[in-house]
Amino acid sequence: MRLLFWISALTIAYVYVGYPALLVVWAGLNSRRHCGWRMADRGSNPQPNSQSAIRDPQSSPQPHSPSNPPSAIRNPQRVEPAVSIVIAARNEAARLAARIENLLALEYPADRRQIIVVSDGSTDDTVRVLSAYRDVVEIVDAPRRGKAAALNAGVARAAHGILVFADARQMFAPDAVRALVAPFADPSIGGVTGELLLDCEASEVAGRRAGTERRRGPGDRRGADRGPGRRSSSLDRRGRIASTIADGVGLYWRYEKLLRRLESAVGSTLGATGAIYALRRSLYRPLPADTILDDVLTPMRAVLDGYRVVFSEQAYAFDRAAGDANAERRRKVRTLAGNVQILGLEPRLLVPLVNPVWLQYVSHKLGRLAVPYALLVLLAASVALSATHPLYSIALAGQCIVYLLAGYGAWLECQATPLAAAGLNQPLSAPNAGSPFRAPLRAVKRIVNA
Amino acid sequence: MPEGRSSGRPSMFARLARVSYMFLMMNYCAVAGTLSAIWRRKVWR
Repeated sequence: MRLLFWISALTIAYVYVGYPALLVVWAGLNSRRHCGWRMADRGSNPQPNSQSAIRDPQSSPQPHSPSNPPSAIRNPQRVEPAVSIVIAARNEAARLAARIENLLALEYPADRRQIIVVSDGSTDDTVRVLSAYRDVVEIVDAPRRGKAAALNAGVARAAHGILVFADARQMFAPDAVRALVAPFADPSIGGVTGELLLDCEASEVAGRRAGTERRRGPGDRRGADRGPGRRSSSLDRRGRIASTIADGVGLYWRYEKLLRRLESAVGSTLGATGAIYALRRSLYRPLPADTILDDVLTPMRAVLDGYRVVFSEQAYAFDRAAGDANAERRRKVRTLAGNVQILGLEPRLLVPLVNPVWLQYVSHKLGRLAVPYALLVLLAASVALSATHPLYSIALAGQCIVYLLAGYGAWLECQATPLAAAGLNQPLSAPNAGSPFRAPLRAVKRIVNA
Repeated sequence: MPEGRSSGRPSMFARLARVSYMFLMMNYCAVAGTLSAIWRRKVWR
């Protein structure tokens, strides 16, 4: 029983504290050894061969190796390889026109981007809406076989060396694609994930944007009048309108983003954001039709092939915070189920010598799956051992305090008014006021916006 | 003070309570839901 106690306690401590601490040290050592590079630092000079490294879809990128260390990559300011933007859509007629307009307005040369929209057996007006854009969009009207099959069909039509994956619902920032493809100047990079921002985070981004603009200085203000400047004010306005409590990002999301940045700095992120990520076409392998998390499986396959997948903090897609509690719950369930499924699809992830990010994968993804069971074992072991040593009594008391606090937190959420809980997100959640998952969702929102 | 607020800002105690609640909720509810979903195989498509 003692062994169970300590194994579960150490598992929880390692997953939530030890692993991030390890990443911090690791990233620090990497940056010291290689005069570090961060995705947020734009403005370094392009490498002479950076364009050729990403222009030619047939050119062979190079997996990273000890002689090609992760942090030695460069981030050219302006590289514009030809890209194929792939969107899988099902019954998205109401959103697609705005989405395509958003893509057409990107600050990216029109002759270097291809837009492919796959209708996955839509039964509404999706194809009719798309047909209005047939001159600028490649339309694939496929029978319904699921998102993964739709992506496969879209990629089969891709003509360029870089694939950009997006969803119908979210919108890109005007320079999102340029920021997303810039890291491909490094041939060891196989994929890049952007950052999905919910409306409640918009003001933070506006501040970060303003800082970036100041660092760039007056010498590089291309498009500033109609680009970042306008974007900042627009984001500020969105921030005020969408959420009056967007003073910062909450504890949980800060923590998750920190992990993602650190994992990118020491090697690769573990997956990508489905709303905005890019991949070298040569690394794409058709997805099994029942794939749940294409945005994790595809990048992880690139990592297993020896390439890096990095996080670009400059490539933004925007979305509204989930307002439907049941939808949020389904999303969480789906994510965890997808992580379990990926283990079956790619068991190589569990082999240390094959998976270059094995330690990160086990610590982050598998660790998160293990923690709930560790919590239960820890509680049971503490109860069983509490009479044998004061240490276990203290541990039991500590857990009781946490559970009681959680109960109080749940009660607070039940008492809180929708307006206080979610600011102007309230109209989104109001229709679901009777949902049994309303309190948990509001808890997430309150933490996010604390 | 059901909101755990004294002057418009949540107290540290209330914040801790919400963090604890979210931590446990995310762990237990998500895993319970996942096991249920996998069992029923409703999430595979």
